[in-house]
Amino acid sequence: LGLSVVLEPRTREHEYIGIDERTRSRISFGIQVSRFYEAYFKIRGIEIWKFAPLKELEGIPLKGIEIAKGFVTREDEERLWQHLQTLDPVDRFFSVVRLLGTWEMEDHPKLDTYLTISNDPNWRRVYGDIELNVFPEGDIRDIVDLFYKDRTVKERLVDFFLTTFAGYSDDAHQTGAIYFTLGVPAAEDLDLWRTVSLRSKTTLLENSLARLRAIGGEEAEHALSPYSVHFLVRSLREIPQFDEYLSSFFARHQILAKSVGSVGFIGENPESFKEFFDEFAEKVLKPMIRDLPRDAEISSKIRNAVQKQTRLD
Amino acid sequence: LASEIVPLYQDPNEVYDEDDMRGRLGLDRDQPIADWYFHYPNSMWAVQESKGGYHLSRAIQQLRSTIRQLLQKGRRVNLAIVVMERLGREKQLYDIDRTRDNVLMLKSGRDVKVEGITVHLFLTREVPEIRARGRL
Repeated sequence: LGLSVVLEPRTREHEYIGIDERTRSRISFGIQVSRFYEAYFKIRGIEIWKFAPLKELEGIPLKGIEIAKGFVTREDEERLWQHLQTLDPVDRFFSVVRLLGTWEMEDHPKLDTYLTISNDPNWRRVYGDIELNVFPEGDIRDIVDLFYKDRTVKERLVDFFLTTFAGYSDDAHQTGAIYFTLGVPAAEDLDLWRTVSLRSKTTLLENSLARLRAIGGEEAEHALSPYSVHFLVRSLREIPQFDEYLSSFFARHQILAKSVGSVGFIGENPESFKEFFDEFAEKVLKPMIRDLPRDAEISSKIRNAVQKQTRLD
Repeated sequence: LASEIVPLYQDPNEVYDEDDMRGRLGLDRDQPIADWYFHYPNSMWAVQESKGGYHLSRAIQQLRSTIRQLLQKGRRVNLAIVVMERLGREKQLYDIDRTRDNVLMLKSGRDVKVEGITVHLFLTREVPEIRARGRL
């Protein structure tokens, strides 16, 4: 998916934050992301859609706005907001705003680029509140391929983005997670992650277990089904010095874990997360689930305890 | 055929990659474009996206842009195909109907169509079986 930002709603004591305030906050955040990349992302227009940014996916086009200067000025942003305010509240609630343009980087052909700001809950659930990506061409499958071509570029466009936006908040939202991934960010696709910002190390471990469950076949499914992921991860983290042990995996696979408001996990090379998961699963997760009591054993203990007490057969 | 070209169900007798479509067929350089335009011996013309297959909604936009331009240029398109490694989180938006040659459907139950052409979605692991069968 390239870059995906998931925003978390903030709450104010004794005060309801309305849908319009949340919509405006997302728009503002998305435009700030576009400005961060304005040296490369040349914007030619903005489209407002309902439900999805494509007719083929039952999206409904609502408005189009031309952008003259290659980036979204304060006036453009105000114009966009005025357009959104002329819509029915329902249309605004389900709106998807798309900034369209090209990615222009020295020594590389221009690439069609989009930044999507999703208010529509279904679209947002899959692609995040903000999504930035290019259309694939040549050897570029995704914008992260561009970001990871060169160490200096990566530091400027990935590492610095993380430190700038991971701790961002306004009255309506705060940054929940940031993903630089190949494809759509999902726990089960952790091997495609490049750099992420998550709430904590616990979240990374929960995602690792989710991937194991997704790829581990019947055995993993059977072993994990009686347990909550939260409980398993808490048990792991109760092991003395587990965090130091975990850090040794990061060091081996060149993942830099640093506090950036949340916890940033910066993959130094494209394979960092894949290699981290492969080793961590072999050395920690698979041995752990191998010895977990299975559901039949747990059920039997429950039955025995109740039967002993109630004398039910 | 180069090893990275994976035509879906048999070897095509005409192959256009991105550069060919832009160069020989005159498609717009400023529009997103799919990976391949194949002509199969059974007279079917297929547009296929594989590289963008990590993001289905984006792949559909590439198919749309390519098919629209090909049709405008008087070319034929019978099949629209996406090949993906995995569907992942996009399962929340899409279904695959495996009783109808993997027709891609929205959760509303509607088939995904691009310029009136039904889109088929295949996972990479399904391709060898279809290749061995030699037809969809």
